[in-house]
Amino acid sequence: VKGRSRAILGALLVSAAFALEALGRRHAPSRPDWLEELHPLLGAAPASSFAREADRDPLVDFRGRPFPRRRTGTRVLVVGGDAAVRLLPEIERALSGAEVVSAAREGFGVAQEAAVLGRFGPAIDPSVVVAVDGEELLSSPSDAGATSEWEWSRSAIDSPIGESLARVSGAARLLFVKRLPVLEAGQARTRYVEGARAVRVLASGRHVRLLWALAPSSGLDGASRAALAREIEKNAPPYDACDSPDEIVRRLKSS
Amino acid sequence: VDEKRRERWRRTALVALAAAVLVDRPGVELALTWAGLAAFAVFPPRREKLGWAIVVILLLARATSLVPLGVVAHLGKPAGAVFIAGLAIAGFFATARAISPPAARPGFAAQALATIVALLISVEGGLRVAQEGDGDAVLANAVPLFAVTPVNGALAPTDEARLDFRQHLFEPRKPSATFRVLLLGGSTAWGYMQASRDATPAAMLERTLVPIARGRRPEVVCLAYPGYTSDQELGVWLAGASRFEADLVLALDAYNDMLFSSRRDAYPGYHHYWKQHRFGLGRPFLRELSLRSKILRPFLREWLWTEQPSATLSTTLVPGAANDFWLGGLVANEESLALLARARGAAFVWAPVPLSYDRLVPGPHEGDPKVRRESPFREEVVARSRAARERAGPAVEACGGTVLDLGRAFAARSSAGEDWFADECHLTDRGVEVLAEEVASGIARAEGVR
Repeated sequence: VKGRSRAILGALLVSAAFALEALGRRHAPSRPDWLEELHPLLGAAPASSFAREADRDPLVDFRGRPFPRRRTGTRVLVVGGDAAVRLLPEIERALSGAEVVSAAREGFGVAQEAAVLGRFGPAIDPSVVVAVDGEELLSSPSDAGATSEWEWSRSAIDSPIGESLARVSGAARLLFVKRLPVLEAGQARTRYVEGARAVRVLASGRHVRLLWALAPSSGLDGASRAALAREIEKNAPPYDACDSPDEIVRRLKSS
Repeated sequence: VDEKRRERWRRTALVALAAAVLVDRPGVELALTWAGLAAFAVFPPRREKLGWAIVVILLLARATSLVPLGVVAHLGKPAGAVFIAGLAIAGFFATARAISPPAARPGFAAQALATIVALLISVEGGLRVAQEGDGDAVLANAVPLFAVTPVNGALAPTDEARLDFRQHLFEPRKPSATFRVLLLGGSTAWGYMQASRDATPAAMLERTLVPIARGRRPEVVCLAYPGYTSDQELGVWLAGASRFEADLVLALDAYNDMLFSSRRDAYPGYHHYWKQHRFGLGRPFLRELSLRSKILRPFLREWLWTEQPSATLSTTLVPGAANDFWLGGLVANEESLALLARARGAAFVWAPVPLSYDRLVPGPHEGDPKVRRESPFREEVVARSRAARERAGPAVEACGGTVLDLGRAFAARSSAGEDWFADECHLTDRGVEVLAEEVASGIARAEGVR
């Protein structure tokens, strides 16, 4: 009986350990390159991309694809978060002859879009900018521009050894990798509108066509999305607002 | 007490000390450390080499964090000194007992080691008391978009009053009858040589801009900080400064872009504190040690902490006045700031920082090599400065901004009797006065700024 109890207890402990491990991995996905990819201006960026090696020719986009500094034909720059990343293959299929440069990355919002256009716009020299954003309306970190890499950075600051454990253990992530504080919905919306206007000002100021759509994952229904678009448009230069990312692809195809 | 029980206590002590290494709360950490030390004092480990090594290493590691600042701050300095002495004595006896055979007097080696531990504790504690407040810059400063911030919450998206980067309290919503200037830039704009805000460019500008403000009260919100380049200025704007309802955005910069942050290993957004992230956080154990030990910190600083910001042609500067890394970035950022400021209804003025070489007649102490560097560095600086003014100036104007050539203004006003520069780019109090006067007079002459 004693042996059986020990076996049951052991099995329970092992199951609990596995459950914690799984829970922890879901709580904070692995970011083995967080330190390498943490970026002071964009929050995070691939190590060999134009954001890190701005003096190269050709420059390299976020997918690791090189592109020359001087464009020879149409160059489409795609910016934004998850939804923009998902849209990239479709844009490429739709524009077989055009050069598609990615500056989109999981967790990016309008702050990064504006930083890309503001700091790197002249170097990338796009003819069209495609922006799919708004995911930060659901959850916007209180530090503008923070990405999940910053969660790991903060955990390394709070507990360097805990962060080392969290790199290999999901259970340790529960304890040591803490979610960044987020803004209230109203503040997130105000910040988003402000950033979206900055993107439009920078695109317009550099005479680049901007095609924009709100990401379906922004969590807004049709009416709210239209209201948001109107709010952005109120004090922003003209741009092409699209109902959905698919419409962006259709418009790119038709033009 | 039988040997089994002793062994159990020793293991418990080891676990307590190991836990203390992980725990970041000073009170719990201290309690665990004391518990571990007490267990070793009462139940010393057997004389086995491995056990010895573990015990000594853990004791030394813990000795560096035995005096949390909070405890000393709570007790006050005299009581803190007594506390440290008590810890040192306890550390001595605990170590001597821990590495001596049970029921035997500590030998020479044990006493020597115990003395070292006690000394370490004393020196460590003394340094902590003496250098109170020298914390971890990463903890307070690291932020996305503009790399580091001296004031957390300065750009928060709330309507609460907050401090600017020169500790001046301001409301995010501009009070009525106020002419608000956002001051962007690096150390010169921040007032690197000025201990008090009263002598900084921000305060001086509040005086010299009175005629331009036309009945309104000039208020300068300083969002400049040492080491910032135009990358950080753009980041500051995007991170929240755009909400501050500025009438005028003044970027007083370019030196860090063209020199200080143009290191061979730098990249856009780089700041010298950033090294902590890139290197310090990648070596957590060494970093932990450096954070906990004031003794070890100077030795580890070279690898883990902020690099000494120096610029020499051979090691740190990206060569070439036309180098696109810094010049392309500077032009792009100034253009962007001009566009963004104008879109918010604010005038944008770009004023590249004047350099000591701009003075035709140096002041009494401005011949010093620190103020006027020697060839070929000097020629490189002058060439870059010229390139920055020639390329960024027209770009700013094309975006609706105004350019102030403070270098030319300084040259025109040069008089031999005064020192305006403390080094190549940092101004004396008198230099700041001259700068504020020239900025005001330049703005008064420019159209569309007010």
